[in-house]
Amino acid sequence: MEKLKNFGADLKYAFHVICHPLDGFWDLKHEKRGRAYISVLFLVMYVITSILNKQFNNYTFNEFKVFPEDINIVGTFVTTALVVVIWVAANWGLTTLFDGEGSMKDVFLYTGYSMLPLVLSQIALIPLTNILTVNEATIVTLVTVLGYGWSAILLYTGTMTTHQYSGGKTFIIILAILLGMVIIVFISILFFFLVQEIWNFIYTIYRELELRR
Amino acid sequence: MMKFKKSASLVLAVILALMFTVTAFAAPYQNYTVTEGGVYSDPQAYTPDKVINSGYIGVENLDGKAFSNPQDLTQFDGKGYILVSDTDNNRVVVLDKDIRTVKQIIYGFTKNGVEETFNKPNGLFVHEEGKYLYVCDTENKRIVRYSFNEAEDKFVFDRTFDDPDLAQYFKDAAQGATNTTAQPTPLPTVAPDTETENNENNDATQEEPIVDDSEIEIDNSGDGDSVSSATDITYRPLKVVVDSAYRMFVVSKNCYRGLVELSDDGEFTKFFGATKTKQTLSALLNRLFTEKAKDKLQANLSTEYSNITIDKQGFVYGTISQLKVADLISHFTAATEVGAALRKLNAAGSDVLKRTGIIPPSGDNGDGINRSTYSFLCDVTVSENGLTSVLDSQKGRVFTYTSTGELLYVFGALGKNKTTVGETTSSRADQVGYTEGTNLNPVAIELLTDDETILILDSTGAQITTYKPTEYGLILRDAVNSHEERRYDDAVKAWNKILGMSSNSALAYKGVGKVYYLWAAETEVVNNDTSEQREKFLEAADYFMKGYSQEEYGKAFYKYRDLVLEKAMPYIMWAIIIITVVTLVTGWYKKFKKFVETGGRNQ
Repeated sequence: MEKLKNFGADLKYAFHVICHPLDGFWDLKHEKRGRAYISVLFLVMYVITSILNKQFNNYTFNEFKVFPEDINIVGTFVTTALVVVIWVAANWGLTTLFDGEGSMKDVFLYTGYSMLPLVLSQIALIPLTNILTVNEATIVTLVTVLGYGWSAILLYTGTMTTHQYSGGKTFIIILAILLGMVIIVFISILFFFLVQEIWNFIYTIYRELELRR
Repeated sequence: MMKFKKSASLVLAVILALMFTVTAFAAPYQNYTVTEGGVYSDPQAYTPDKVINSGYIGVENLDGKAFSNPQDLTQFDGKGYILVSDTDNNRVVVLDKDIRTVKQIIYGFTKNGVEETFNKPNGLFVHEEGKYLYVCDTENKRIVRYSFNEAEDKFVFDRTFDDPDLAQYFKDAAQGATNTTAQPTPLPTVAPDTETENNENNDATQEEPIVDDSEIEIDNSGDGDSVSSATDITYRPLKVVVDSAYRMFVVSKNCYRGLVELSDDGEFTKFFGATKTKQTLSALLNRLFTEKAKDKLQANLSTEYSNITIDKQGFVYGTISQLKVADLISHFTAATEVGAALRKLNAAGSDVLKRTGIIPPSGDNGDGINRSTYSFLCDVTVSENGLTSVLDSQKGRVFTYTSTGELLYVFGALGKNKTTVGETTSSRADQVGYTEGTNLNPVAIELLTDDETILILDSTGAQITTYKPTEYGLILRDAVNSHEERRYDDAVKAWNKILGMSSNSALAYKGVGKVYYLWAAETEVVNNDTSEQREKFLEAADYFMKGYSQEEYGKAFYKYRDLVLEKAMPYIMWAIIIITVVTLVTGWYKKFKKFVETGGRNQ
């Protein structure tokens, strides 16, 4: 019961954060109000709602409705959760170099809390798309944009507050982080192919030895 | 449209798969449809029936000369006769309804006591109302008209429509332009070719040269092809259609200005329905270049029509084969007018073809690189209800579309082995390796009105192949026709039969959905009870979803949602009122309680 009460309080605080980002993110770090499990929860919710959106949104707004075989959970996971993880890594890596005050945990915390509006909008979209029609498509667009826009603003303020940056510097550092994410992805793919090549090489030697035995 | 890239590659996959499974089918091809979900094979809609060649007709009946490079065929609906223009033999052969008995062979005509013959006759057109036959006597630069004589049961010479002298028109236009812009030299549209043509035509009257010689020489030294395509406006009628007012629309060889419209008396009226071109950067830069540099550039010109036909309402359908890949890509991705291989022209000459299908009615979509993977449409035929069949000379396929531009079915294939059918009686059909239903070089298509048979004329093979609709094809045509003629019960029955034969037919689902939607809209509402109507709209929406039609699904769902909302609105309003009242009352009650507890003292 006590735990449930704590969970309720933590969740309530998350709503406080998204409504009062500057104050909220400050307390998140300095007053130790942030909870890692809430961050993880929002991240997981983000993945789940993204999949549910493809599964249950009405056909008017969702082509996957008639091609359910095209819904790819792994693909969705890569485009949602993995992107967030890479963001955290790139964020920490760059801000450490540029006088950022946030630790890896801080970065992960504020990123997770920033996902909340996105999750909420995606949850709202499921009933909305099943009620609304083409004529009211603007409402659907509005909710989607609101979700993404709000989350983006939160990420911006979160970066600013956690790392103690000025507004302009935050903007530049976010662009740098995005560039860093691209580089990470590029190097990962390169690494993947390299490992594959090495494996091929070892396998070829093995075959050669096997045949000449 | 989102799924489109996927389907393009699937087309190729299906085609490749078909190449190896050909033997399994009666026909050397496989019917397929393109849907949002990809490309599916469908039951055959048309199968080859008869092959009509010189051997079948009997060369002795053809004055001892086998067909040689025939270029066009048409039907005289009134009598059912089939007319073939036997181009290299310079004659027109009239066949009876059975497409075997020779009724008449037209070699030419006698005019003012002078015997004249054809020189490469090409396009044929029969004006059903006036019972006139129009023959495009291409190399003689004229159209010859015959009228049908009931008593003699043959076509007799009526009159000729001679060269309207387009060169003269161009010269006038250029001079007019010269005067207005006050330029000393004429515009480059006046070509040296024009001059020479003109001089040829009027040998006696040597006109004063309007373009000075040095200018001509420069023009000639330029890149031959591009210049001549831009400026060669010799009138060489290839195909002709005639509307109910006896106006003629002529496809002239290498005429980039669209169709040549002639009055009922053969006078030039105007150019009609030129295809649109894309304004490119190079075309813009073109204006900065000198005349000399311009000649070296490829001109950004409209493409010429490959063939035309006219429907009962007087709309002119034209096919275009010489399209650029870039234009085709934009056409297939966004259904733009630029790059359209099939056009439907209204009286004003603008394109009014509906392109609601998942791919626009321009044949096969290609890989985006090679022009040869796209279709080259060379002929078109239209049924009374607007079912449009186009012939693709690249792959030998016939694509049939509904009046709204949705693909119904595909049939036809190219043959593989080259043959030499000339003076001998040996026909391609007897040769080893020939597959019935294939063509070497299909050039013309004609739909017979009485039994929906389709004829394809093969110029290299010098033969006509008749294709008969299968049961599936007949039901499909019946379904579309029933809907067009508003016999909705029949349409639903036919579509359901189609679903029994081809369970993934998006077209059939959409067809049923359309009828259900109409029925739902017409449902009578008794005592405000809309439950029946709601059910029908929901059913229609369901069919549209199965038919991958997002837009129509949206419409049906909107109607359904509105009815539900109408029904539920009173309850929703009551709920809102009750909730508001309850919150207000509890709030007041709390305040009141607090007031009583504190005794009204402000804390």
